[in-house]
Order: sequence, then structure tokens, then C-alpha cells
Amino acid sequence: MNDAEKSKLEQELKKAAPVLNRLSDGPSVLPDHVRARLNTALDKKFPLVRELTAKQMEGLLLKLIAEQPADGFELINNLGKAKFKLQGGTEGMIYGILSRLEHQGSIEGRWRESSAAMTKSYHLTSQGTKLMNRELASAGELQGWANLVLGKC
Amino acid sequence: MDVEIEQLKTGDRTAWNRAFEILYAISLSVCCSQAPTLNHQEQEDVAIEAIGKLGEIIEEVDSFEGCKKLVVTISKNRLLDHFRHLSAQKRAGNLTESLEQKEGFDPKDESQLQPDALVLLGENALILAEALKKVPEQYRKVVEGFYLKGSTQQEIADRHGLKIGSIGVYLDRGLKALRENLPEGWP
Repeated sequence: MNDAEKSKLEQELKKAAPVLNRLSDGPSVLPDHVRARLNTALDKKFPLVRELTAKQMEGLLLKLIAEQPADGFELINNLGKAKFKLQGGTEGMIYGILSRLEHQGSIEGRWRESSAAMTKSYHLTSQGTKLMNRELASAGELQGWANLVLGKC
Repeated sequence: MDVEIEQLKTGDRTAWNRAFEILYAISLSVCCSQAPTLNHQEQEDVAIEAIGKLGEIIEEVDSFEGCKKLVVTISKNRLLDHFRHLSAQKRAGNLTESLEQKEGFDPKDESQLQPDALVLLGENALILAEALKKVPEQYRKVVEGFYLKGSTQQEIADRHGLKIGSIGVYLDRGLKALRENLPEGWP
């Protein structure tokens, strides 16, 4: 490298220094927290299909109901819009999970009259709150998933 | 330095990940050149917001070049909003000094870098950042300390436990290694 090339490179480094100082020195030039925030915005525009296990889906349903009581159709519709699916299952199997949660006393169904028919709106019980808190403690991503489904991010 | 616009429109994650790196560097170049005293968090917020906004309207953009210019424009607009907000606070008596005056921010000022120049500044920074990662660490930390952080040779020698007389050699080797990792003919 001759003196002119060296001088040019030094100039470029100094010119780019303010930006370079804000880029990451890790494997990627993007700091991890920046990439995470950008991916959240991208998820909103182009949702990834997420296949959840029955246990994960149970935790997510509890969290969604805790945030906003809803009937089975609304829940399945919102999950579908945010591209959440039950691993190896069909939408109808989510009704099965809701039914099981209701039988074990974690959620309570209250009938309400909608414009077309009677629908059962699910509310979280105190037992369900405890179960949800346990699920939240063991699966940190539940909150983020619920935010995606509810359009809060 | 390009990404296929059609891949971005389909939400291709690999394409978006590369686009994020390029567009983030470009938005930072806008913030650093037009509002240098904005803190890191505020600059980061402007960049993320600008790229997020681009994502929302990606279907309307014809090329990745167009994306870069849009990110420059949106970043400038966000900076303007930011300073207007601060000025409004000042008028309301919450601030004692106009940051708009303090930082000399004026998007209409012709002396400010134009969009193409800001795109180039961001792209060059990204190219340098990627090449720097390939420079052996013992040289890289000296080059970064001297040219990016503005440390003196004495400070660098003290920080890294090197002899002051060897810093010049480390800088030369670091620059040479950096040059070898830059694209042919750059800049």
C-alpha cells in the first residue's frame, strides 16, 4: 500500500468513524437488540408461521384470555392472522384445548348473545392465573407471542 | 451493495437481514451527519423507525436503490419531527435552549449532505465495518482506537499493554490488512 492509498484509507476511516462506532463489533454489524427490534417490525408486516406445541398453545391461550376475554372463534381467528398454528393439529383442536382448560377450571365460559348467535366468551379464573404465571415463567416468549396476536407491537 | 427488491416484497428473511445492515448504516449516516449530538439511543430509534416505515410501504418501492433513498428521507423527516418536538417543549418552557439551534439542524440547508452522498457514506461505513472484522485482532484494536475512538498512541499503548514504539507498526499492519480485505478499487 503506497502513501496515497494509506492517506485515502485514513480519511475514509475518519469520515466513517461516527457510524462505525455505532455498529456492532460482534459477528454481525447490527447490534443484537437492534436486529431484534427490526425483526419484530418485520414479523408484523410478514408474519412467520409459528407452530406451537399443545403446551405452548395452552399457555398462549391463557395469556390471550387474560389480556382480553374472547370466544373460541375470535381466538382462532386472531391466532390465524398472526400465523400461529398448533403443531400437527387443526384449528378445531384449539377448541379441544379450550374445553380442557375450562374443565380443569383454568378458564370460565360465559354465554353471551352476539348478532348472529350465542357465543361462549372465556375469562381467566384465579386458578388459570396461577397456571398462566407458571407458564410465563417457564416460557419467556409467551408475552411476545401474545403481543403479536393482539397487535400490540 | 444490493438486495433484490422482489425478495424484500415477499418477506424473504435472508434478504431483509442484509437489507437491515445496509439501511441501518445509511440511516445512522444521516443521524451522525445531520444531528451529531443526538444520543445513541435516539439515533437508533430514528434508524429503526425509518426502516420499519420502509417495510410498511415496501410494495410501493421499485428498487433497492429507492429503498436506500427513502430511508434517508424518512430518517431526515424523523429528525425534523424530533427537533420540532424539542422546540415545542422549549416554547412551553420545559427546555432552556433550542436543540435545533444548538445542533445547527436544518434539513433545507444546501450545505447538508445530499441523499446520494448520505447513502454512500452509510455504505462505505458498512464496507469498512465488514472489512475491519477480518483484520487480526491485535491490529484491529489499535486501528479502531486510533482512527475511530480518537485515542492517542500513548492511550492505546497503555490500554492494551503495548510498547508505545510498536503502535506505529501495528497501525501500518492494521491498515494494510484492512486494505487487503476491502473490495478491489474501493472506494
